[in-house]
Amino acid sequence: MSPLLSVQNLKVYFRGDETVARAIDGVSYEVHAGETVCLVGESGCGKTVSALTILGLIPRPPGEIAGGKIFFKGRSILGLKEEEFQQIRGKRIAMVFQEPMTSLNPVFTVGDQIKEAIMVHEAIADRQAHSRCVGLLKDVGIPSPEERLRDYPHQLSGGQRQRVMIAMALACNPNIVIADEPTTALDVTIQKQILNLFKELQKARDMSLLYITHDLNVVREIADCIYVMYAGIIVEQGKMEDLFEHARHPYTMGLLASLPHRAKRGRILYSIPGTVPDPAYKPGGCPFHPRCEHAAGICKKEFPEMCDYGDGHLSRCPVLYERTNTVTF
Amino acid sequence: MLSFIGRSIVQKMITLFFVSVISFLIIHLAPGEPSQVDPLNPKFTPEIVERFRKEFHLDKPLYVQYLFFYRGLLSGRTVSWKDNQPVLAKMWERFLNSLPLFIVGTIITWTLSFPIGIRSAIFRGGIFDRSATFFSYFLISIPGFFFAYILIIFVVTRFQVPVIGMQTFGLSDASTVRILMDRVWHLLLPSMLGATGGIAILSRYVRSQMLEVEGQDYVRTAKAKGLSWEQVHYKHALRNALLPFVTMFGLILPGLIGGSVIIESIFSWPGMGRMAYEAILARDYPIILTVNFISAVLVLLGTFISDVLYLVVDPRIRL
Repeated sequence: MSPLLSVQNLKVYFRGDETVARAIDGVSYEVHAGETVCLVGESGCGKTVSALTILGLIPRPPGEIAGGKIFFKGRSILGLKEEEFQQIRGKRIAMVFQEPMTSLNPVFTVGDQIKEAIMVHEAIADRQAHSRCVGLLKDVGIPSPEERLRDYPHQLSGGQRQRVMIAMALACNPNIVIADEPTTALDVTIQKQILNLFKELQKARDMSLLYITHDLNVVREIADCIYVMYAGIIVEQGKMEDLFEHARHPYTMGLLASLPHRAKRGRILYSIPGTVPDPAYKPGGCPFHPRCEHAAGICKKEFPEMCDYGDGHLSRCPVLYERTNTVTF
Repeated sequence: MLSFIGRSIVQKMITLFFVSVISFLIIHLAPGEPSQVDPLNPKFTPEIVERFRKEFHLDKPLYVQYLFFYRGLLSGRTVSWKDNQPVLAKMWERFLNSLPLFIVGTIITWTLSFPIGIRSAIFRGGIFDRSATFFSYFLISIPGFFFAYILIIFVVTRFQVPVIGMQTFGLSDASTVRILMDRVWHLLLPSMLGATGGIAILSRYVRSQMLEVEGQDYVRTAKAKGLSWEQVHYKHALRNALLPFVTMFGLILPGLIGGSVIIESIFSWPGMGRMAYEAILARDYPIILTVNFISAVLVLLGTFISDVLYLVVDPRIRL
């Protein structure tokens, strides 16, 4: 089955005065219908940029798409004209942003903003749009939706605002919702509620979800497939259980090891040494090698290829791949 | 809302009281008093100066003078020391002269600054933005009087239209259309000159406001919804960028009385600004203080109006 959304070898660079920040440097991933795909990685690894590129929201300049393709329903959407992109945004691919506090326009009511998302894509009467807004707010679990529609964003709590953002994203029944760290700015208790809401809605509406996060606990809750990103590339990808049970890339292993767990109680939590490289000055070879405990001489020189572990599980670490194979055979 | 209005009126009355005291003190503490404007004039014998001082209570302590002056002002009986005319009637006449200049100037400023600033912000770094920036700084830097003379020379030699004064003398027998056109020609150049500085500054304000709003998350949300270019910029961004200008709109009110000294002097326009300037030279305290007092009232009224307007346009503000 061909994927609903397929990103192929995407490269997005940001040109500064003297430097070029390679925010995304050859990223490929696929989202199939009805599937939840998680993009995982630390801040600054290019997750958000890749999502914004799908919607054509990268400011150009300074942004620049240096290569690659994006297909949506088999159609290349990367070179679309602005007007054609507007037909897709919100209607076919919708997005929920990280900051619910600032992502809603403060001078319009919640109702106006949701209604606008509907009426820009569908020619329906004002009253019909209104009743659909009420339904949407009910779906995202906001009590007394009629009154809330008349509220301004500042009158709602952070969690409620994020629910409104979700309702807005769902307004035109999109095929894919891209959620960019939608729970990061919320309280822990609210995070859980929003996450469950995403799970329910995704199942009920049979839509695809591209969920961007740095939180592996969230990933474990909702993902079907996982792509682990590091410094603008995908370092490991695979099915959720597979990846959690048998991580093959040192970076993924590090991420998993740094999760707090009951069994590790009383011991100091593991953390990966070093920091994420500046996208303008990435180390040569494998970008992870300065922080990697398995790094060998070859890692500094050659950019690692994807190694296939079967069943869609790929990892960009030839060193560990060879080691596993020598052990097996 | 009502309590807000009540509270702010009381506050503003208190402010006004202090303004009246301070401005009265400043004027009276400044060197030179009316009796000493022309010390070399042989007609000003010490006896006459003394009589003059007595007549205008200049020999009394300051607080008594203060009471005399504001009693006169509030009862509308203040007269100019120069020509003994009632101050308020004199000001009203000059105000009517300044008003067209002010209105046309303000309209030109506001209608041009906004499109220029908004366009510069949306297409920042482009040709339009860069030339607008250049012209803004050019207009801000060039001295107003110098620019005015250049324009006068250009317009008069090129188009042969009258520019000095409010109207051409000896036109009273001409047709109404002629008279009207004459007034319009006289009005055009000074009000445009008055507007240039305003346009240069205001369009920069608009540009920076708009730029700030364009970078906000909700503008990105609007784009992500699939809204058209116009809706994103002119509805979602502009509506927010306009909020601070509501405040400014209340603050143009004091300009009603200030007029422009430089422009009115260059164009021999018998307006408020010139009257105030001449009053200062003549140490005509009643006129100076009345102009001062009324502009203070207008400033306070302007801030009050902008507070109320803010309440109307920004849903986040509740009082």
